[in-house]
Amino acid sequence: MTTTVPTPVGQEVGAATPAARAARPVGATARAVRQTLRRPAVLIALGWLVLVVVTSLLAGPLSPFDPLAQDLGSRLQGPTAAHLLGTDDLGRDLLSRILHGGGVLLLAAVVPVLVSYLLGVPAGLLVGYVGGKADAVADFVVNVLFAIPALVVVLAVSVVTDNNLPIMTVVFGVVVSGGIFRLVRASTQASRDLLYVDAARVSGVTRTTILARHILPNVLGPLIVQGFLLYSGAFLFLTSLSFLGLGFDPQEPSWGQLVFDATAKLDTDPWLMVPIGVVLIATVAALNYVGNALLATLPSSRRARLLTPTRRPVLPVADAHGTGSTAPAPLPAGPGGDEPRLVVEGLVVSFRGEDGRWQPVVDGVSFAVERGRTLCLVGESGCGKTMTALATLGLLPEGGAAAGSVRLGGQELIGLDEKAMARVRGSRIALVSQEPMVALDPCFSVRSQLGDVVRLHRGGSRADVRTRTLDLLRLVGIPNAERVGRSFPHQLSGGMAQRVCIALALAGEPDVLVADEPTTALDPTIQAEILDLLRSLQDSLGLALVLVTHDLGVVADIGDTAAVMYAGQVVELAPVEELLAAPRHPYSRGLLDAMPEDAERGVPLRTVPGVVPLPKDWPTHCRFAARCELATDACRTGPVPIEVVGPDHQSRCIRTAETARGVHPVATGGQS
Amino acid sequence: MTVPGTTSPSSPLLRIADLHVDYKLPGWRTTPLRAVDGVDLTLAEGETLGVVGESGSGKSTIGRALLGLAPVTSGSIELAGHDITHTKAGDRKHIASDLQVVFQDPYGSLNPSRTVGKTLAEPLEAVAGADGSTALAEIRGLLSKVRLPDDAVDRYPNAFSGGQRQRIAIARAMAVNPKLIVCDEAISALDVVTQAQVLNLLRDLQRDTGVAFLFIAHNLPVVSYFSDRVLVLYRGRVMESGPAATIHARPAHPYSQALRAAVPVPDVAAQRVLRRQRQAVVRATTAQARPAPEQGCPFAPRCPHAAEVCWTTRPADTPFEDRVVACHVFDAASGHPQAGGAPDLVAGELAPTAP
Ligand SMILES: Nc1ncnc2c1ncn2[C@@H]1O[C@H](COP(=O)(O)OP(=O)(O)OP(=O)(O)O)[C@@H](O)[C@H]1O
Ligand code: SF4
Ligand code: SF4
Ligand SMILES: [Mg+2]
Repeated sequence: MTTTVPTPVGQEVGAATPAARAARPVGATARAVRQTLRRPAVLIALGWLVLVVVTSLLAGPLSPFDPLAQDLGSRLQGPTAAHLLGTDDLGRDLLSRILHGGGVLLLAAVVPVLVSYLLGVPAGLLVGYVGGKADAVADFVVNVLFAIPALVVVLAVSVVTDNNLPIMTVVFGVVVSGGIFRLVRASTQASRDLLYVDAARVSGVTRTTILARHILPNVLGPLIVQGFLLYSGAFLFLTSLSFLGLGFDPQEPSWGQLVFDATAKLDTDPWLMVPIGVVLIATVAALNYVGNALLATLPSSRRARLLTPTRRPVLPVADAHGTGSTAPAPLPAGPGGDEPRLVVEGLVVSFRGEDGRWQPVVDGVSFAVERGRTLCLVGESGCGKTMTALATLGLLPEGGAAAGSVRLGGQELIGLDEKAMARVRGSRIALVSQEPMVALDPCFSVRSQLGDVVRLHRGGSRADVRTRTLDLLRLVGIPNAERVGRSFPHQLSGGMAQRVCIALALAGEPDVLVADEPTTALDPTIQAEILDLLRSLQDSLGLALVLVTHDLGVVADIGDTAAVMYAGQVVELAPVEELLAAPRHPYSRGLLDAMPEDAERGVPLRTVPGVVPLPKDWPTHCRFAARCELATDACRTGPVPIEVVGPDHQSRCIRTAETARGVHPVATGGQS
Repeated sequence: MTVPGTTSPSSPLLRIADLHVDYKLPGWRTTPLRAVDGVDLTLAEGETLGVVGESGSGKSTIGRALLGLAPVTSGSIELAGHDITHTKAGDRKHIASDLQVVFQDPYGSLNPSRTVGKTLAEPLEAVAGADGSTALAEIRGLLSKVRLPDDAVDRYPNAFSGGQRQRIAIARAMAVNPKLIVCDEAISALDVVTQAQVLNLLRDLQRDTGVAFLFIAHNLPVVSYFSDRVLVLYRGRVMESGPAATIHARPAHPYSQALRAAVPVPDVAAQRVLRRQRQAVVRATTAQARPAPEQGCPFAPRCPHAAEVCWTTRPADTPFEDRVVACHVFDAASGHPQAGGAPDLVAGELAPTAP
């Protein structure tokens, strides 16, 4: 293990993304929990619970009277200066009795939670990981447990054991442990097939280590929430027992008993019920409220909230010009001087950082697409291709804002409110995304999802919608539309799912289709079919297509114009044929060199060293300089503007004139 | 089956014979799904064998069976002279030092809540029983091997890009100096530049350590660029196998031809030609194709040369030049009307049969 590979000169492959220095990633759940804990209502409920626990702990010092001391002289008083909450029919101080009556319940309710953890967690982990027969046996046992009425069992135990509270709580814990078991088993099954678990198994890591290291941490969040809910259930259950006079020493005060006493006197002395009623209801309500708030932080319930559209923030004027280093280059005029179908000019997309400052991630992008033509956005991951595409649809993720100009058939889209944008989206411009399976809702059949969109855009009778739905499926090359329409997303292959997604996008008859890496997740054979489909749709419907890809082969196949993006900027905009035959920007050349198609076997691929810088690390000079083999000092003096280098051809490089003459870096061992 | 024209050492590092893998499908009395259907392969030390095929062709399953992550129905797997066909993942300590894996998904294959250092220490501890301090020195060595800085040790995977994560996964696989690494679509999720960087890195590591690769991917040009020999897989069966260079330059089996023509080239004129070729070498899109026959050739529904015999009889593995092809056209005795037309087929000049 002592051989080290010589690192070629000037290659900073290893420079790790300086983001998130050694910071432990905060899981989505942890973040959601933290947000929940900041809500005032949750804080109040928590505050109450803390108060109850603390006062119960300090019941002795806090109580003005001995809770058992009788004072027959002051029976059944309402609130007085001496007895703040009054007295009961033996003259005992109610405040003292309430203070003393909670602790034993709060404590006893911990037992069932502990018991179900002790039983449910190991069993769930093991059964979930091993599966097979163990799973079937465990499932049977749990089903039996669920069928047992807890109250009946505990009552029976109370009779048999002569009212022994510890035994009763343990038995209760056993009966309810099925819920914890099922939770742990389900989470374990979900984590069992994760790739990093497979990798650990391949490394020969033992089963116990894998469970403790890789699987248990994933289960922890839901487990804590579930434990809290269980606790609040157990608390209520035990209070009911004590109301029935079971399990708790009738001599000692307990909240259930206080309620029981008050019930007996409800007609004559209703006040007795007020203090204990308020305390009990508040405690149970607080437990439930906090429990449900925590429950809502679990991923399964978070999904629903994704459906509500987020409000789009507006970029302050000062930030709306991005780094302002570059004036938008003049756009090539369309034939006949008409404005092209889609025009993007000086588009800036920014996200607000944790310090409140706006950080541009797309910085002054301009391009235009004609009817029936295809523009490809090309570049490595992290260059801003997807954000550019999403901004044209007003679909930026939360916290993002766009400025500049996006004109669709002459109409300005930047600054439209969400309602107006929703009308434009789908009916005039639509999106096809990279992951067809993610874009489809697993719970509904293809027919019903497609039907919904058709109804939304065109309305019409049920029969009309149905016909149109089947027509759309046939339009995207699905021959057995009836059968595919009835199926659910998980029954479709990747290629078929992408066809369905294209049909969804076409349902509103848009003029412009934005496709974000529509074929990257697919096999070459399926990719070729989808590209054929897009091409034929373009011919028949006159669609303008914006296609995001990192594969110059796809560009050659379907593109008319290509905009090569690097670090948030367009660095070269050219007709595809020209770009591929004679790229003018060193980065475009680097992308071409990385293609293995015609590479010689055994010879390292010539490619661009290093990685795309993060937006916060963009230099003010040429952003490609750190990776460019042609870089000179002049490249590091100031912003490089994009320049027109030929008809319809622009390049953002000060050595463009030389690249035209074929000055390209000699192979200086362009390894890795 | 040995591939003619390639050196086949007396005892290869890996020998898989007649491998069958069935997946049990959920449900009562469902017929299991045959993911791998009688695959033979051998792999010598320091060699790279490419396995290529489209989604669902069973290429990942071969890798997973080898790693003990998929159940072997029948057949045998022999690694460095030991039969490991039925060794479960839990009993793999002694195998783990010879056999490691790099998965496709750079985001899913690293535990997000463990530092890079801990991830890399895992195989060292499990296999070599290394303790904290000796492991740390080794880990630094590993990181420099895959050209990541020392201080990556204390960071979490979220601080790294996809390509960098894949380097970490490669470092984890290299940690115990294995003889063989299964690369299951290790570069398919990366962009072209990162993909080229990772390919160059793997090649350097192979040169320095002599590790062998089972390189699984769906892109024929990438696989043939990177491998010494290539296996073309379709529906769990080997369609064609032979030296990478010839399969890339002159794919023989109709399915290999379709795969080859499906990957677009970055040249507009050449791509236009290739697109026409592709439309000629497949008869139906995957969406339109009829289901494949139980018996017979699995590619028949999409093959432009399909004939009666293709629907009824499984093609025999037939030697052709320096490779082996499972197609009736190459087998003079098959009864296919175009049998013997192999040279024309390879040259792309064989007319389609009547549909
Ligand atoms: N755990 C499983 N249970 C049932 N079927 C499975 C399972 N894993 C894979 N399959 C099926 O086995 C077949 C072969 O799968 P495999 O993953 O080996 O294909 P692949 O060539 O690697 O495809 P891809 O490129 O999509 O990864 C497919 O039809 C797949 O749906
Ligand atoms: S301006 Fe200089 S550093 Fe930037 S791409 Fe051109 S030659 Fe390279
Ligand atoms: S056996 Fe028949 S169907 Fe299969 S590839 Fe050959 S010609 Fe085509
Ligand atoms: Mg796979």
